[in-house]
Amino acid sequence: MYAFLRRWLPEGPATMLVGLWYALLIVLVLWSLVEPQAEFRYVKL
Amino acid sequence: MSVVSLSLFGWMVFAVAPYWALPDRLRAAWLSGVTFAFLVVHAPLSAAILLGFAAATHGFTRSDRVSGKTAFLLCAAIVLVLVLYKLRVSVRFTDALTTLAIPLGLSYYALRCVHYVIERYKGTLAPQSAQDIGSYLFFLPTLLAGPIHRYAPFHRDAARRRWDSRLFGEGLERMLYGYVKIAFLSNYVVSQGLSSLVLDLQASHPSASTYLSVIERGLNGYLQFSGYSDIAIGFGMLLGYRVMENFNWPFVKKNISEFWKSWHISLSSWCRDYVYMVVVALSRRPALAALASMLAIGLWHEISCRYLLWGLYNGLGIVAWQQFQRLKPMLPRIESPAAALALDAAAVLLTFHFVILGFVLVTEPTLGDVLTVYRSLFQGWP
Repeated sequence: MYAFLRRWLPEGPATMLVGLWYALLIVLVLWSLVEPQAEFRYVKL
Repeated sequence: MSVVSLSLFGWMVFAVAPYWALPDRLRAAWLSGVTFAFLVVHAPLSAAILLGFAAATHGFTRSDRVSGKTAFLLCAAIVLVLVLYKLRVSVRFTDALTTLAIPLGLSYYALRCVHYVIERYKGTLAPQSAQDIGSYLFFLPTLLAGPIHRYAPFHRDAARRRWDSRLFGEGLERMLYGYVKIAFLSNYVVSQGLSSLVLDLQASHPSASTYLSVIERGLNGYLQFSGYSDIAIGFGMLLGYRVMENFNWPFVKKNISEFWKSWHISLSSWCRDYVYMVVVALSRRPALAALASMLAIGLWHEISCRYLLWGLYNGLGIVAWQQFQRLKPMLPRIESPAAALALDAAAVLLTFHFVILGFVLVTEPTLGDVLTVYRSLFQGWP
């Protein structure tokens, strides 16, 4: 992601954007984990 | 065990934390030890089976040359163990979505052992030490649900392994994408959001509701499995290994053959190498080989009529595509770029629907329910 952003942006803004992106994804994962999870499982462990 | 669980995450952290602090010669042993401990704690039977497989694989392929008879008997024994457990599961099968009682990871490490034995027989691999085979088979990232990675690239990565902060960062990012796919996109957006839409439409527009529910299963299957593969690949990167890719945008492929080259790639390429090529070599019939490969893929998931039908359905799809390729030169050429684009879009839609309609065969508990879903899909549209 960082390498992708660096094609167009200088180092500072690219680092900030990528940090925000990861923070957003982590919040989404944690938020969806506290919501009731559907027990769909394709992967049979 | 769920893929998104604190327990599995804890094991990952436990495996990685001291890994890079250890001297290089101890890293493989540490990882194999953690994997073995993980299996002993969560699936002792699987630990015993894998230990037996690893010992047999090493013991019978130690000599410089592995005879055809030895390779055949060893592969047959491994496949027999797999088939026996799959049959036990099929007999006890009650619900498509319950956790099945097959030893953890058996479907995957059995195929890894068969791959290793066949490559030793073919002479493409030199005899390997017990530690090397052990580190290949007891590799935590891919142990539970693939990818079914190959020995040669794994061994190459092990030899080149060194701390690489870029690869480590890439691994963390990849794992994060995997968790987003499973926890947010699949378990939350698709399973909760799309499901409630399916329920809302059930009374007023039953066909549209069934159609959305079929799409939901296809999307869920992709997001769950590719999410798990992302986590496994990312976890491998944290340990300095580049594990093979398992998915490559399967739902935007223009034909069923391309789809199967981009869906569960490690399994389809395994079947290409060890089923398709063998049947083609023996029979000189690509159609028969495609059917045999797809039946093998179907039965690998589960030994049951529904998976046999699913394999046959996809196999016939590939055969139809192969026959169509022969007719293609006789069809008029499309010159206009717009028409070519529209045709490509239609091909993607057709392939997508062919695949998701096939998933109905394996997600419904009985054949009667499958027919009810198909009937509901094709009736009642305004």
